[in-house]
Amino acid sequence: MNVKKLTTMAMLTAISMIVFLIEAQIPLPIAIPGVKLGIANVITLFAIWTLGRREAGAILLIRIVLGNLIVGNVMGMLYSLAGGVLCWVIMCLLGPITNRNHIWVMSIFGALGHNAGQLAVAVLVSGTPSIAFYAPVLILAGMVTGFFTGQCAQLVLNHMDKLKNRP
Amino acid sequence: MENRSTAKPLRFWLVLIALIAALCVVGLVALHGYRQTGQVVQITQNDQVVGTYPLQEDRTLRYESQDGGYNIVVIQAGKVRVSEADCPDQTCVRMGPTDQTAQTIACLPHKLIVQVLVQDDSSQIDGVTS
Repeated sequence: MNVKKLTTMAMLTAISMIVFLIEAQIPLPIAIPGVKLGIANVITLFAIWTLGRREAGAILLIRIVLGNLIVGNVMGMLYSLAGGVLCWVIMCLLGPITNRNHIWVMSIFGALGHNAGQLAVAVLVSGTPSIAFYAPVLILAGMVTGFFTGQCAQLVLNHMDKLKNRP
Repeated sequence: MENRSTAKPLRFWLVLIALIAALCVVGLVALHGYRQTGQVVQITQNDQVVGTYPLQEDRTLRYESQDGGYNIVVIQAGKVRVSEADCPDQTCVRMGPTDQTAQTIACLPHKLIVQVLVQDDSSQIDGVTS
């Protein structure tokens, strides 16, 4: 791992933590537990396509652990971990079969993975299977937010390509 | 990661996403039909039932959680809601009042679950027909 990669990863980790912390302060108009924008996933998507899967996974893990420690939410860490790791696994699996120009596809399925992980933890922690009734709403919401974050990552990636190809 | 020739066409993904979305809508409609108006509120804290109250009687309940937090559950006008909580996300408060089964109000930080149930005692059966 060279110095440039290391500093890029550190930068992305810092950015994703800031995004994560700011997002936690924004109240959403929809009162359904588990629905959020997930803007921090833009960083994960960006890292997957520019650095690689393992690097993206490392950034994600550090963001989740440090971010939740700063917020002071230990339970939140469990939810974030389950959601984040499942999201990352799904996006990595989709890597070879999705197009770089349609990152929103990867992002949507990542968001669905995130929802599934969080819902599973919620059911296990609370011991209330009826929480699973939220699944359809969560999936629909995940599609909308996943599309949005995917398009954000696409914008950033396209701009980085322009920078790289500059004479 | 580079773009590879193994990428599935966009059509494939669009159809798959549309299919999942359609399934969810069907699920939501089915869930709506499955839902019914309940008569009893069951409150669960830390996996233990701590109280069962009829929806008809107005009352205000206060639950302290292990970590020093609290939730205030209000039964009013045949509906139950969490009126106040000191958790950071306030999801349970913003969910509003409900009298429907399968519409669980959950405060996960405090491990408090408010469920509406259908009364299962036989006194509900019409005396003439039985």
